Amino acid sequence: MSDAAEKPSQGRARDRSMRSVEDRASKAESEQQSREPGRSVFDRFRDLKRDRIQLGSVTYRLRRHVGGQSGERAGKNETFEATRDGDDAQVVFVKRFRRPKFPTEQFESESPHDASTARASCDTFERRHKAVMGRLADDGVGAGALIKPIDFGREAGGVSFVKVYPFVADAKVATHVELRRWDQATRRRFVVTLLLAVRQLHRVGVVHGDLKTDNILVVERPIGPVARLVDFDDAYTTDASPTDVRDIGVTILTPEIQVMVGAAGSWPEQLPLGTGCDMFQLGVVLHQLLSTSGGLPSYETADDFEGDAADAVLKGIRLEYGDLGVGSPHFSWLCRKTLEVRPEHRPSIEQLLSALAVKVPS
Amino acid sequence: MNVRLRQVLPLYPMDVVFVIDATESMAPFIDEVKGRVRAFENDLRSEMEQQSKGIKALRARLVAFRDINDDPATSFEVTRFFSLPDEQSDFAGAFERLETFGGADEPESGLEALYLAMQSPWVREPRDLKRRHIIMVFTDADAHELGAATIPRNFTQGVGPKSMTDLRRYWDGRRASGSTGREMDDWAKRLVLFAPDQIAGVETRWSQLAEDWEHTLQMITPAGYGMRDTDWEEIIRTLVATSG
Repeated sequence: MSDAAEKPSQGRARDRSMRSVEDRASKAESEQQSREPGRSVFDRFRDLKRDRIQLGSVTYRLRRHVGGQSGERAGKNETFEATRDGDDAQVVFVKRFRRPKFPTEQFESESPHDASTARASCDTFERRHKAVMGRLADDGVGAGALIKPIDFGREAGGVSFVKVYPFVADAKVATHVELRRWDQATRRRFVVTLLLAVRQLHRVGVVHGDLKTDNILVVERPIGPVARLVDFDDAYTTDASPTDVRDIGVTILTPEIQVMVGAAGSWPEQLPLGTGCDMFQLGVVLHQLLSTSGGLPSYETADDFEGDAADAVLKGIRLEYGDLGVGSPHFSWLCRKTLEVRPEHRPSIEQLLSALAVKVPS
Repeated sequence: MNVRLRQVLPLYPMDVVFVIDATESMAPFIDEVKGRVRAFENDLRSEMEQQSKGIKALRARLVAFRDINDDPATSFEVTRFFSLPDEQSDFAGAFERLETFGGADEPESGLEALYLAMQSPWVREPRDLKRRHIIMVFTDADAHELGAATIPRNFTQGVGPKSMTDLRRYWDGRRASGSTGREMDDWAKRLVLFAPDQIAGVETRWSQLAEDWEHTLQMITPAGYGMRDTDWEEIIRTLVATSG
């Protein structure tokens, strides 16, 4: 761990007066090392110099940098494969967020008002994450398909927030290629486990906020492949305020939010933050995984139109669902309805489950 | 209506500022960039599509820096934003005209250059929350402490930052006094530092930024070696990975 991470509150007194051009020559060896065959372009990433992160009284030993969801670094955090100190058998993922950052003591003393604003952002961020984690503790039907965070807080002696997720052995990201190879019963079972996971979230008042194929894993069980839902970093409770979710930003862009942001020219004070957001994103995901038109959502449109699913819906362009291969035309019809512009016109997760003849105790 | 099947990609309006140390030791890196920069828009678009992203609009500008203490007149070279690909030749021309000289007495005026980059007239399409304001700094040296020298008046109408705290305040969204640019949007900004983490065992100011500032990451470069080991593909991939 760098000195900066261990002692953020201390002044960073330094003496650069002794530096010279000769000092630069001392880096020749590291330059040679960085040219070694097989080196990743990200091997020079600064956070790779860390070997541990401490959260409260727990130390996580970092084994390797695994980047963001797609294997590269994402914009919002760094992810490491790690083990809990004293328990090499328990592998976890440790995420270190790039935002917000807690103010250092130096910043506090030189700019107290700005430091106060920064602290408030940290409080909001922490409150949102802890509220979601509290509700995820519920053990209802479908909870087993949620890969819940197991630890969260500000790095000990540091400025960054850290979140820890369990490692899921033999899991892989769901793709349309794989799902299309399955028979109808297998596809149906997989979809049901995914829907039950989302239902459990909505039942306890949590919106996932970032439903996408990268966040849906396939794991093999004796009954066949089932779904696991991961990454609750952008999740929020249904009673959260727009201020509380402001830091999430772009991932919760649905047609209704896009319309309001467009009208307001900025982040509006009132936002539709209910479960309808998830239903829209779920509709796009189901299209990607199950429809026959391609791995990415596709639509028929004029040549000059470009945009994402929310843009398309706002232009009146609909994703084509066709037969989703789960043996229920009504389910396909409901999936199409998840892309309605107004969230209240979208079906609920219970309606989707009902269309697959799944009865869940209330 | 002529219709066809289109794939859905999230489209990002992107403003990218290249902040480049143009002192003598950086000649190898700048020569590499000069040979590749004409393909910037094409290379970036290709890499974005590999990661299922698209470009809605792309602008780029150059802020080159040396050392105010050596010669204030040649301490900065700043261009406007060029719209790409339409103004690709003008953008590439700015790099091709860039000469490397000075800088024997590291550190350099990189933090002042970062301030000038932050003052850029960023795209502010309010309806598009996917916009990105990205600053990429390339240097093989540490930066001077702020406040000791003044940025020449032809580069900024403001007073300029007097300390790291001043500079951070601007990064955090508080306007600097006399600022001519537009604020960077909180969710749009990204800072990528290709810079040394320490020199002679002392942490650089760049590493201090990477640790304390939001939306900032650092790729470590060896000090004083002109970033010979940093290739164009690494720059493009880092830029795309950061934009998410």
